[in-house]
Amino acid sequence: MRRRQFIRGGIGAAAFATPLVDRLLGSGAQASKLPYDLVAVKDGEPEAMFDKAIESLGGMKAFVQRNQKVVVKPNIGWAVTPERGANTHPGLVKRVVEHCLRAGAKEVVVFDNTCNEWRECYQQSGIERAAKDGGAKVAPGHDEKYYQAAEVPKGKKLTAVKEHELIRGCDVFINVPVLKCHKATALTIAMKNLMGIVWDRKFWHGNDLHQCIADYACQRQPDLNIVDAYRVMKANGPRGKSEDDIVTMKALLVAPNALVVDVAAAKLYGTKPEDVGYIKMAHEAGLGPIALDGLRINRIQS
Amino acid sequence: MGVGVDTVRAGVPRGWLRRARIAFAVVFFGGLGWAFLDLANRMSSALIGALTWPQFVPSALRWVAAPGLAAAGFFAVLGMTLVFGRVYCSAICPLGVLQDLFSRASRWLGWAGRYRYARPMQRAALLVFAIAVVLLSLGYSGLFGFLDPFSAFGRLVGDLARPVLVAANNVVAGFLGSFGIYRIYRVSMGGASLGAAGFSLALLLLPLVLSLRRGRLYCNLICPVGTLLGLVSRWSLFRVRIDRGACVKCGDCISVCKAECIDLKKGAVDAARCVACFNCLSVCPEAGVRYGMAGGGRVGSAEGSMAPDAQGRREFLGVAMAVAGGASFVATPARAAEKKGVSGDALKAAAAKPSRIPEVKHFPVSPPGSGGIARFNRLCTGCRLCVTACPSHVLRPAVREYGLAGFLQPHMDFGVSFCEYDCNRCGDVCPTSAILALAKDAKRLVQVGRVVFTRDNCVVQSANTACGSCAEHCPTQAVHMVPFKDNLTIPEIDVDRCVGCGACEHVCPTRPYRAIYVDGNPEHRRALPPTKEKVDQTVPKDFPF
Repeated sequence: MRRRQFIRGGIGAAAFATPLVDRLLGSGAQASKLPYDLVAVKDGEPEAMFDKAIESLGGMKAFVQRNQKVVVKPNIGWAVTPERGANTHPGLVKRVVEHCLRAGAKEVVVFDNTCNEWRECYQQSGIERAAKDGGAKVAPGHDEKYYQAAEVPKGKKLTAVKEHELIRGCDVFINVPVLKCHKATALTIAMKNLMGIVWDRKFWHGNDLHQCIADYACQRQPDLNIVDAYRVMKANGPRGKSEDDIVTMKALLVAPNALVVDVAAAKLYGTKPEDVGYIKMAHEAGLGPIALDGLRINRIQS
Repeated sequence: MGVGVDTVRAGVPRGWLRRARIAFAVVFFGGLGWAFLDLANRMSSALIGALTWPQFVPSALRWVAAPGLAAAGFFAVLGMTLVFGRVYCSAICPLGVLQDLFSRASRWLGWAGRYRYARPMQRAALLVFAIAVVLLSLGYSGLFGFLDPFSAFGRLVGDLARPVLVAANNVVAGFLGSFGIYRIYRVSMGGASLGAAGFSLALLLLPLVLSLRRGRLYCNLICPVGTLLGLVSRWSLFRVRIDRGACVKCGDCISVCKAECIDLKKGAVDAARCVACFNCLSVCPEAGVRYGMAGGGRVGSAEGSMAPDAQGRREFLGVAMAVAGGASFVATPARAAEKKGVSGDALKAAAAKPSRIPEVKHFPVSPPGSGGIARFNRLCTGCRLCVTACPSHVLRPAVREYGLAGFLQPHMDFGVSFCEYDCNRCGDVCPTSAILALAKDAKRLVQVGRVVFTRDNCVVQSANTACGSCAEHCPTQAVHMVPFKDNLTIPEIDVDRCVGCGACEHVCPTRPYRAIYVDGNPEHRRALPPTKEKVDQTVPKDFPF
């Protein structure tokens, strides 16, 4: 099954690697050189699922060159344990870090601008330990001093942000969100996870949150998006009240384009992508397609 | 160390008493100093508890609130004083040790010379003591905190030393960060401000300035604990005496006596003022200063310690009665807390449209475990330990929020942060039990305040754009989102499930008035537990794309 899909994907890659797809995906020349636009894996452990996904994209070497500085940005927003599904799975973060280092990265740094007290979040989520075990550095993001002002020239509502200095200084930015329902934006996936690399989120909330997310997603596109859909929060997100909010979906989505991965994740969750404001707005702004037809998708079901 | 001390003559090793005193002083001063500085919140609450257990005023207040072994430290101090004299002042009190450091520094710098004998100022000391008792009895514990040496120490370190350390830390963190080293990270200034620092400095400068030239004059003139223990130590079993047979009146002991209480003309040591530092024992070249029991043979016969006189006893009895009266007054039921309108940081405009309806807060929010505002105001001396320990820095010394009774006692400032749902650290470290230690499960159900939602201020209503920041942060879903219009949702509140953590207020983007905020509960209540419902566990078999 898997091999057949892989082969089919390979053929698809050749057939669809056209300028049209390039334009649609809009994330640079690199994306079209990849065999797939989207890899979806199901029914495995997060680490094994990622191994398969990244292998089918040609390995982490397709994204990380020797001696590059890499930022891996999980969701570490809440001071709760991994079982609560409010943060990215720590095992996945560790495995992503390991792949980056194996590909020759000079250093891999992990951070988030958290919602709860940052040290508690880093610790309770298990991500600090896991990232360090994987060989990454764990950096703080709790103080405005770590952030630098940047313009958002094409932003409709968001015209300026303060970005974390690590995001400004890195060669490769790997976005590792967790799929959750969200009180404010229906869903939080890849684009919404970018709110953890900026400082003044209050402005976003006060000035058309969906538009601000879309504006910034067009401005700062990650090089790779890895969506953790292992434990998926289906109620009371993004923080959740208890483990009762969680469905164990055991899935993983990987794509270079944040909009593509958000569309796929929304469908996986059971929500129409066009019902999520920022997905629709980002599509209208030209970030990518809102339908997955015509994309080269590798579906891996173990 | 010191002015010719550690002189050991002809097999009379008397230096060990002094060395033991210094060892204890290092432990208590160093430990408590670190507790008030602890930038990374790494110090265990058990260690903090051990160091604060014998601190006199916190322990006595804890006894008033919750008698028991955990509050028995001040009894131990009283007993210890009856046996050994005021060793508390020399070895346990961090403000006392801080003054010793200042005295020493000023002598190294040549700002002050040798100590001389000074006459006691007992009436003045008793007057200050009476003021302290009155403040405490009237419930002005926050003001009393200026006189309590433990709390004064906490304020000095918290308001003056900590900001300096934080600034230094942040410079180092910035420097190391530029090399990709993140082990040292930036730390919030917490409640530190120039105003608070200036205020603390102005009121707490006295012990530091006095100590530069006059050693422990503050402890014998201003400090109410010093005065009380001075009255007790008149009867102490062991005390410092002059052996008139051995004394050659060289005056070396006087020159190192920071309590200025050795009167060689009379050949006597004022036991009420002696803080049992044992410097005199170490410095005496003739073994003419002894530390021992009263009536102990040769020393006793050559009476060299001032005995409690009739007047002192009368004064002591009077004061003791005042203390008892004060304590009982403190224990009486609370006066209602003053109602005060509190406004947040109303100036930072964040949302597209300015909000129009003012916040109406009737009460400030006291920390979870304090039981309520009146109880808290009575028992908190504003030592700053919880302010230092609070990981989210939501606890800030109040200025006007509680009124005069709660001046500089910590309150929850949701403008700067919010109370972490799973954190109970403030109660774990509070030495007076003004904030009771709560188990995490119990803390999660304490309602310190109640949420108020002003729909017309909310951006969902006023600008028709999505927000939901409040519901996103609410740990109990007392704030949740319900359908509004055009695919939008708007907050709805369930006040009985609100714990008053202030997360919603902290993140609400509307200005100048927030659409959602917490009004303090004068008496804390019990919140209803969060509702329970398990989500549908169906997972699609195939990819839906």
